[in-house]
Amino acid sequence: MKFDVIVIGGGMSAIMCGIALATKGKRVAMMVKGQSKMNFSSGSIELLGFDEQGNEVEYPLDAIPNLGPDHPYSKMGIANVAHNAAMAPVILEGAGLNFYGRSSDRNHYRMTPLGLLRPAWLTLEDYVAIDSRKSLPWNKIAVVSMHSFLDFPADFIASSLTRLGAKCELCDIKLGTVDKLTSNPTVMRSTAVAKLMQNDGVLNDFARKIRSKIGDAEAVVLPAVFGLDGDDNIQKIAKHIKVPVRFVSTLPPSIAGTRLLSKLRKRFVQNGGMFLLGSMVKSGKMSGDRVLSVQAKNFPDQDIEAEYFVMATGSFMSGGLVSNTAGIREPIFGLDVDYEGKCGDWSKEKMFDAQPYMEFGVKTDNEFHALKDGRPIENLFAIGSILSGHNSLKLADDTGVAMLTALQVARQI
Amino acid sequence: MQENNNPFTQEYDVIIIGGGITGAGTARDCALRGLKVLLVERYDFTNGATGRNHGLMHSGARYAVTDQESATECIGENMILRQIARHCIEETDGLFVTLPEDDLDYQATFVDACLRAGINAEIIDPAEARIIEPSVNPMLIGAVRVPDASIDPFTLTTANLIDARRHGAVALTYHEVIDLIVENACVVGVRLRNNLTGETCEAYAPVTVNAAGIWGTLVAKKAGVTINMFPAKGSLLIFGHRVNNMVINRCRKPANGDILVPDKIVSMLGTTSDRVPITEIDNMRVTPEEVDILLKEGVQLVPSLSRTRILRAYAGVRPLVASDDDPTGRSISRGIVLLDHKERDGMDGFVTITGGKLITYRLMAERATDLVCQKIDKEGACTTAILPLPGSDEKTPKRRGNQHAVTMKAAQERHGSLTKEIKEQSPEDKAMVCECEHTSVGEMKYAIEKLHVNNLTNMRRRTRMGMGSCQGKLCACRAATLLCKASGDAESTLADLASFMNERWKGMRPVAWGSTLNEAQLTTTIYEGLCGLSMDVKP
Repeated sequence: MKFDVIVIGGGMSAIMCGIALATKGKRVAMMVKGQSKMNFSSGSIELLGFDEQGNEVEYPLDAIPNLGPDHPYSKMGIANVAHNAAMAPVILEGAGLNFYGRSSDRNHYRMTPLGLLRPAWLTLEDYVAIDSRKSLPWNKIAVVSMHSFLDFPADFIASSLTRLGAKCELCDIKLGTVDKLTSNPTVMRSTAVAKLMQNDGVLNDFARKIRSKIGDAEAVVLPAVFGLDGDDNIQKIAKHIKVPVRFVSTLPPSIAGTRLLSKLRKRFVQNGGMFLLGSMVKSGKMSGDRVLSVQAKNFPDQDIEAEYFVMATGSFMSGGLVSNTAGIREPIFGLDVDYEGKCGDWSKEKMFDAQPYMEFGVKTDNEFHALKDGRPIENLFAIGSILSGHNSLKLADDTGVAMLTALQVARQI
Repeated sequence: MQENNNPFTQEYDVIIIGGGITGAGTARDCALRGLKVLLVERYDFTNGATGRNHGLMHSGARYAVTDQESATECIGENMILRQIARHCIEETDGLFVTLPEDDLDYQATFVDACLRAGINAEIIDPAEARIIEPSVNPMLIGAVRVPDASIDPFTLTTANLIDARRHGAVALTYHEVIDLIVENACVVGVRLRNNLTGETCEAYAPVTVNAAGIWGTLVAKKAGVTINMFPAKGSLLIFGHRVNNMVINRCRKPANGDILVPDKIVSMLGTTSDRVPITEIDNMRVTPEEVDILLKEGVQLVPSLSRTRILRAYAGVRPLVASDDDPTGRSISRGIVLLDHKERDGMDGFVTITGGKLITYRLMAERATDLVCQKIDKEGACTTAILPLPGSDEKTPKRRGNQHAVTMKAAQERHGSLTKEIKEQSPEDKAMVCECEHTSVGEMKYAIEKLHVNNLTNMRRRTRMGMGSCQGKLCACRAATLLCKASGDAESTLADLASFMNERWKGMRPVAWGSTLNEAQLTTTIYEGLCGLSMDVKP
């Protein structure tokens, strides 16, 4: 097998890079191992939510020049950041994904499953998005939970909306079929409920019960268990309920993530991209400063060749980095990993302190060529969470770095 | 609170300080003998050494060679607990294995000492040992089978408290003794601070029992009494699944990292033993060196431990007491220590029960209660050796038609026949909150209602929620929702959730490499990234 580009990974950075390359007419194969961090998606895209001092950022493009030199944005340079940040929403929209926040350079807030507010750049248009802590678009809101669906903490969300000044009503709805589901107590997770909501009968029953309970609420907040396979049932529930419907993401697995990823994947395939699903890439063959091919578990004895390779394999939790007491390595090519100290130094005592390990990743030059033994590999790029130099939790820049580095690398290929 | 329910206007015969297994056991014994009991615990039940050990029900074999008296006590209590605390015990039996680098001659000394102490120690063929316990180091050259078992200290403590309460005892968590009230060289009561509200109050009784474990030395000081204690830190590792089905010990003189205990769905490896300053007992940390020692030794016992994910590391403090005539601490007793401070220090109305082991708690409670009864001229025989604990006192109820088999079986392992108290009124009650430990909503509601659950850590100790391989990744959030519904206070529940996750991380951090680091990153991604949680939760 021979391709123009092989992208290793299947998360946000991989798919954005894949689409951009396929759109350019490249023959792209995406080697996807399994699930990705998109399982934990909030339904929002962030660019930069906090500065390095921990202050909330209002205008991310204005704050990005102040980031340290190791940050991927700084490596890319502000002009490229602006260019890619303009490109990214166009690609998302091309895939049929519409976002709140599109018309402004200003961050807004998304609402987390715990009812807390986090800065976001773009938020799926049917999710709760708030411009300021002082103004809610509605005065009276009904927060709907589904009886025995434990992964939507409606009490926290209602309490938060109340603090933000709304009158809030909690509505716990018993689904008609729920008894059957809870006979197996592990079944009531977001994906199972989302599948249930694809059944018109269940959805109609649910909507009817909501209508009878919400009184004069001006808006209804629902767990994000809609849109698992296309937007049909999102439109249906909105039509049934009549007042505006907004979603808040549930605990994982994230239906928003599934929704984003499936639309982007469709787009990738429409543009001629090819998936090699279930591909556990285990090694690469190199010659000098070039990668020749990769080998995967599901293609025994085959060299999968390409002109360019893109590493989008993620951080520790995705298997892009592996560690033991002796150190940290990148398992496919043995790329140079940017980390310091012994394993006792990789973390801080308090969970919510800035954890040093969050900034570890593979070393690259400013064009995101991955380094091995101190030398850049000509045709191997690294994008997304595998990159070092920033703490994506503290800066709230995870999806932004994923998309922008993906687009930057796609432009260079 | 209604006037007649106010615990501080009632009269008590005895105040027991400490909500560990010793305090709980003493409260039960005193209550069974008809005493009016107040038990006070400064934080949560099992917060001290009770909740930070192997959960090993010693047969006594480990001490047989070095300490016959302890060994005899252990086997005696071992046999009693099998009768009275069935639901807290898993009868695994144990092996003492000899490895090629060990002296096989020690085996004969060991077996002889066991038999003398009354412990049924049986030499078995190494080949048989490999069959009955496949995880054991296949290189072993000798094996002895003993009646070790696995015991759940959390449910054991809870069962004692429930029985104490059934017999009229009052138990208060988050009530810390800030002073002992002394009149005419006699402790007549305690001054308490509610650690949740900051309020202070007083309670009175003719006798106060100091059952505060290692903290007992600080309690005694409040009455001007000195107890020479030597805090000995013991560190342990919890592995991500149940590696072994029998307790595995090393057949040699007790040393570091030579016991591996199966505990429900995980395995626990321990321990180390190091003196620590008394000033550090509230802040135990496992060091990288201790992790190294434990792993190095543990892999000798069970080679597959080198490939098994470590869930967390934790440490407890043994309450060792130096003999009164030896202030240097050279002859430290590991046995039971009962101090009548009237005879010892001229301070009447005050008794300390300490030393001992988890498994000898009942005997400690019996001796302490005997002394209390003697002090207040109360007659009554101890019945704790024959009366089964709640949960073990009835036949385990059959599953009702609408109950789910998996969660009910798990609940029965934790609550025994008390499982009947778990109501399942709605479909939600059947829903599973913790997928590792199979804890249902109904079980959590029962815990909130009946088992002194104010926060997620209390919930973890009563229901094992968050103790399994995911360490609370999603279940903590689900349980927080239930607590929020019970308290109606979202903000403080979120703060509790943050501190619970932080506490889980504390145990993961000493072993944060490999898959444990991957899991830690995933957990932080969910809680800090997706959910926006922090220690300083703002709306």
